Amino acid sequence: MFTRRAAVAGFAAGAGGLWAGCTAGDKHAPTGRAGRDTSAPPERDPDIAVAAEALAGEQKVLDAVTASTARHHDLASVLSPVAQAHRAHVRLLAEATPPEASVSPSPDSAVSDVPSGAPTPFRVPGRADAALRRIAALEQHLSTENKQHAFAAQSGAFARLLASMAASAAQHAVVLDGAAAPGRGSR
Amino acid sequence: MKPVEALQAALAGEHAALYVYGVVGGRVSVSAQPTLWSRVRSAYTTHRGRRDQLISMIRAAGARPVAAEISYELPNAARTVAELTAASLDLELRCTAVYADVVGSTAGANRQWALEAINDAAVRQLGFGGEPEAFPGVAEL
Repeated sequence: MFTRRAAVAGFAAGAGGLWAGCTAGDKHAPTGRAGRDTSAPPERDPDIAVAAEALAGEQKVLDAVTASTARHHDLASVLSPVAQAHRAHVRLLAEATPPEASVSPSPDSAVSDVPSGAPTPFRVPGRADAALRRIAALEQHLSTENKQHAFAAQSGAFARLLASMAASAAQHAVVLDGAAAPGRGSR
Repeated sequence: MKPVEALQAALAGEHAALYVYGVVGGRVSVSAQPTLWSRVRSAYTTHRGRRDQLISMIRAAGARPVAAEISYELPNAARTVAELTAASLDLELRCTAVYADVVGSTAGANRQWALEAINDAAVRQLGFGGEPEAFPGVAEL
């Protein structure tokens, strides 16, 4: 399957290997770096920090989507593809991020409040339409963040993937806003 | 890809987009399909702006902007509303991919510009029947 793995290999190789010192015997090790001495100490690519931040951002929104689906079962059909996209992003970014670089999420602040950026815990709104709007706002915020990450990335290949993730979040924001206000045709 | 090559590829894409939107716009009925008509019109205006900006960016990089072809092949017969909508979606999908490449091949202000362009094209897909994707513009995913 020429999919995610190959793409990770592609951008990691393009970055000179985001995680250059990935563990020996890692069967997920990106290809395209044949001949590199895996026993050498890891080089810290500046993009590792970018990947870790992007990963944390994606995980926060995924957690919010999961919590919203748990509270509003009737939103499952709308939110399921959204969750799927974020899972794909999380998987890809996790592969590019060594464990120690991860931004550890604090358990009681799953998602920060979008407008203020205050580290308040994510509370799923009681009304389904409000819940959708809330996720839409998170998606918009995530899109902006991922654009900033893409701007900051040293590796062009990595920037391209982050730009795509930002575009995905922007798409979801529009679709969710539309689903929250059926008939208004925001699409 | 060198930055200027990516910009030239994007410009070539915008030339094609303007041609196709010109054809599509001429075939969409304002009275019968007002929503599609206004989306096509708005897309045309946006793409014309992108084309002009790309020309400036390429000139600023010291290169000569690629010229438009005389004509372009349409992705379908572009007669029915469904075909006109699909042709528009096809264009936005292509532009999304091209701008993803520009992001990957440039830095600084040009990358910033391309980040807006890819977002914009990805969102515009939705108005032409596109569905959100996990990795818009990245074909290998």
